[in-house]
This record gives sequence, structure tokens and C-alpha cells, in this order.
Amino acid sequence: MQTRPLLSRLGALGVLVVAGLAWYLNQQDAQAVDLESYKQQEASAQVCGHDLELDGPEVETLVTFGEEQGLRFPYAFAQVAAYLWLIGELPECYMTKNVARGQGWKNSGTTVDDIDSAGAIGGDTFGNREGRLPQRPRNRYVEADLDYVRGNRGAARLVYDRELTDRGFIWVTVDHYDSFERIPEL
Amino acid sequence: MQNPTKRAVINGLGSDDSTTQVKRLYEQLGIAAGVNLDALSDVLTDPNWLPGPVVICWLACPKGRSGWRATLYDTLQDAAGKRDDLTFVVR
Repeated sequence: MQTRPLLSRLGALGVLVVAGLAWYLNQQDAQAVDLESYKQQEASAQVCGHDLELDGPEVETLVTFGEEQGLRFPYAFAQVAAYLWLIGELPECYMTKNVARGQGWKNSGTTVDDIDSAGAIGGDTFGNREGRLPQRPRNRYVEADLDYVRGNRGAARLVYDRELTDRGFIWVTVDHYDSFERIPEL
Repeated sequence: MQNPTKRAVINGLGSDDSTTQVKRLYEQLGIAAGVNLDALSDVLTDPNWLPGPVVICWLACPKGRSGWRATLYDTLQDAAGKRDDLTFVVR
């Protein structure tokens, strides 16, 4: 007499497990579609870092973090941050202000995209003049533009410790250095 | 054609703080950007944000500078060293 209700309960449990699995797989598919959509959108915009072709859960974590920060191009940010984490330097699409000046970025009529359509400003020292990041020896922090496509530069930056003694020492600011968020541990 | 020279003056007298001085500089130079010394450093070295030529004068600049005054001085001097169309004058 006890067997049928038990089987019934097991059956209901099985349905729940299958439904949960289906929901999980659907979420995974949705995330993959989002990544692909970002890839296409950011390749079309020629955002610096879009073509690094790094994949894996770290990139997905960084894309989610970039979305949470309100970045316009979270996939390119994730690629640049992952590249920095893996290789220890910024990708080649970045140029310092000094290099940009040497290429003609000297007056209001010439913007960064005029001298390099897929480039962005990055690699200059971040002074930490307000002391909002942990104190480090002078010239230890480096900054790079995020979300740059064309025209005048925006307010989003990636800032990291040049020594990379701890690969987690990468921050993002979207309000022109008023506040910083450290990227998640990878 | 060369743009007309922009001029801005900081007055060291009074009990101003860093934020107030950066805001005053922005007002005189017609800049909308983050109001902190890191943002100022970025803005001053960006020819799109701040087209030259520019002259920034710090009146009554204390000789013994410390805290934000030392940092502001370094920021302005550093920017002037990176651009040939930005002049920083201390009186």
C-alpha cells in the first residue's frame, strides 16, 4: 500500500529535476547567445580588444561583471581584462597619449579614432592622486580606456597594478575615477 | 586656425579645498568631467577635452605646499610638461 505513493513522489521529484535541468540548460544557451551577440556588435563597432578571441568561464564572469558596471561594451572589456590577466600587458590596440600625440592627436579637431580606427588610449601611468586605490609606489598603476569607439573619450577606465604581483589587482571605474570596482577573482 | 587662448586662474588665498578648485578650473575652461585630481590630470592631457592653447595661473600659490595643494601643483606642472600648448604660471 505504501509503494504507489512513494513511486508517485519519486516520479514528481523526477519531473522537477528534469524541469530544473531544462531551465539550467536554457539559461546557459541564453548566456551563450548574449556572448555571441556582444561579439558581433563589438566587432562591428571595432572596439579595442574585441578580436582577442579569448573564451572560457573567466571571460563569461568578466562579461557579467562588465554588464553590472554598466559598460557599453562588456565583451571587449572582458577580453582586455582576461588578456591582461593571462599575458600581463595590454593588447596592441592600445597606445599611450604620448604615442597618440606623435601620430597627430594634438588638437580638438583630431580624435583618437582619426589616427587609429580600432585603437584606444591606454598604457599611461595612473597617478592615484586622490588615493582611492591602495597606496603603492609612484608610477605603479596603469590605466586604459574602456568603451571607446569614436569621437571624444568617455569616463570608463580599467586601472591595474603594473607589477601584477597579484593578478586580481585590476579595477574598473565608469565615473572618471570617482569610484572603483575591483574585478572578480578569476 | 589656432584657437583663442583659454585662461584660468586659481587663487590660493582662502580656505578652498581640492574639489572647489577643480570645479573653478572646469568652469573657466568650459569642461564637464569627473571632479577629482585624477580626472583633472586626464582632462588636461587630452586635446579633445581641453583644446589648446591654455594658460593656467595660480595666484598666491604657497611656497610650502602639502596635501591636495602639492598634488594639484604636481598635476598642473605635469600636464604643462606633456603639452606644448599648455602653460602653467605661478605668482
